[in-house]
Amino acid sequence: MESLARALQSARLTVKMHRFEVAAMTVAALGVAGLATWVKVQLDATGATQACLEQWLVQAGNASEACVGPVRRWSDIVNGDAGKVMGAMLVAPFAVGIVLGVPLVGREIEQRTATTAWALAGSRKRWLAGRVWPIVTLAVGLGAALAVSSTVLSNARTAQGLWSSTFGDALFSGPPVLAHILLGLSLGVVAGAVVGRTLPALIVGAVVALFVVAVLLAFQGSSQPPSPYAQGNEVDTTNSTVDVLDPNWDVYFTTADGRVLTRPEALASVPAGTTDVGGWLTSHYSLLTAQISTDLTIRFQANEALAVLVASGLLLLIAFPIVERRRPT
Amino acid sequence: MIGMGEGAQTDPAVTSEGLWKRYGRRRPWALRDVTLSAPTGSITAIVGPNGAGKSTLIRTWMGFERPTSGRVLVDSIDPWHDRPAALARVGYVPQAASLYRDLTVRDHLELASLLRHRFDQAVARQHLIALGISPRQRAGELSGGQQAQLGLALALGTRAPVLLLDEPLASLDPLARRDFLRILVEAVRSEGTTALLSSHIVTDVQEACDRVIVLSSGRILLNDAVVSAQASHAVGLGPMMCRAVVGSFSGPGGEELSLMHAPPAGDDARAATLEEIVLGYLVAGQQVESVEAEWAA
Repeated sequence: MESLARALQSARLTVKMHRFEVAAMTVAALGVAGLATWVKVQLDATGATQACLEQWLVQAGNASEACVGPVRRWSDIVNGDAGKVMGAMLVAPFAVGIVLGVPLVGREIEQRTATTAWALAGSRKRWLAGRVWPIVTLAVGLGAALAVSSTVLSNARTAQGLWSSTFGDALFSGPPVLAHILLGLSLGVVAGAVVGRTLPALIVGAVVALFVVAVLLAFQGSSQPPSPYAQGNEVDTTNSTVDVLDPNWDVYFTTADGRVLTRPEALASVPAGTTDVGGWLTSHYSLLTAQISTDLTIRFQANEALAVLVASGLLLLIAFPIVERRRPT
Repeated sequence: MIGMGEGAQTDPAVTSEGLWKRYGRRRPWALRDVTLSAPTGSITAIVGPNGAGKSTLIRTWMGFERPTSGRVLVDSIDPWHDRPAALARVGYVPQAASLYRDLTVRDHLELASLLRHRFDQAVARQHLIALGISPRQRAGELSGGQQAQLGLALALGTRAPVLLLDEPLASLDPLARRDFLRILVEAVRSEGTTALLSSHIVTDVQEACDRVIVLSSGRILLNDAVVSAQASHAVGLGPMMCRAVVGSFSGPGGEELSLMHAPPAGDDARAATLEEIVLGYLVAGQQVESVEAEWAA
């Protein structure tokens, strides 16, 4: 009970010492999460239902009057605000993590308070652990808010993978977002401990983060299958008139017995006089969009998040011997 | 002297043995062969000009600096090899008031309790109450004197057997200095603590200390009890040509004075003040340095 009280007291003082960064980054992270939710609400408000989007794809834009307007409005938001907010989901976690992490050690050294703290604390490791855990807890909370809101927006703007691949958002949504905030935090702590000045450490942290983002994007690119249809043997084209499915903008259908039909073939099979062509097609065939499966995206995200979390933990561990050996000024 | 201790024990609380320190191969030596010890229960002033190595010496005892060669001990513990154990025996007041500007006075005491298991908040609180420092005030709102007192309260609250104070008086007005030293001396005498206090102004510390170490360019020029130093040095008017002359310097009226390592005797010599002793040794140190520089060139 006493140790819990001490831990809470330590957390209170840590947050109070860093209240500007804590307040600013909480507002920033929750602001981005709020924006993502707001854009998702805007997408829903267009009235572009999943059925409408499917119809649009099936008939290459010749959807019913009731769908055309909503789908166009929906598409405008997807290509506009939704894209910008998803872009922020790549930058915000690193920025929030670095800004929270740098002052933990960097500002203590810069403002010479480390001299007082390290003279009082026999063990600098215990001192650093006491400083880090409340901020890590906060970062996890903010990261979770960003991860959930980005996943919701990604699902909305890809229409659950129907309109475009969720793989494109793999680094911008879900567990990777949470992992990135922790990587940013670890980077910030180490940069602050090494440099010992807040602003230079922020710059160093930002430069390293840019490099990390470039590596992650390259990793994502190399993890993407060469053709969206070439993912294992998910699509059997043995009984189809096409050997290789076009990864570009096109729509295919699978019949009940597993044959793949091109759109012209599917349209040719629609009985004459059918008014709701889209409805007929979707009721008789399964729509096969040219997208990477969501399962692959989830697997990629899980692996990426795990790797980044391990790297963050190792980086944070490196901060301890640095602090242990460092001069306090 | 304020509350000069009676019967101070002579076991060294902190020692330095053949200590050399420099901050890089191309940099000059910050400390050169510093060997000294401070007896338990004593208050030792480390005096010297800026850049003399005072802070480096104190920071080496704190385990903040690694000796280039030689070693230091705090209560027989080498802080570089067992820093937690050494720091558990030390209360430290750093050069600038290194406080958290946004934390209140009470927060500082709570923080100290979290960082140091045996921190005695009551001792620190009592000290601050006596000075009328409110627990709700933020450290950034305190005057320079109050910040220094808070720093001292944090050091005293550790109830450590050794107090190391790195120029705590540098930014204080004369009244605040006097208050600071009075409280320090009272605390040290009542607890039997050993204190080492660095300053570049002799008059600041002569009232409080019973030992003096004069440091210049990293070298110890004098290490003696204040009483003994005063008894064994005299000042003569004008240039003196005898082997006992330590150094010559200008007096307050521009007259040339010579410090001699000899008891005051005769009409042309009088007892030296501590300030005159320090000045004489610093001048002598500068002369040695300039000769060394010539040889090096």
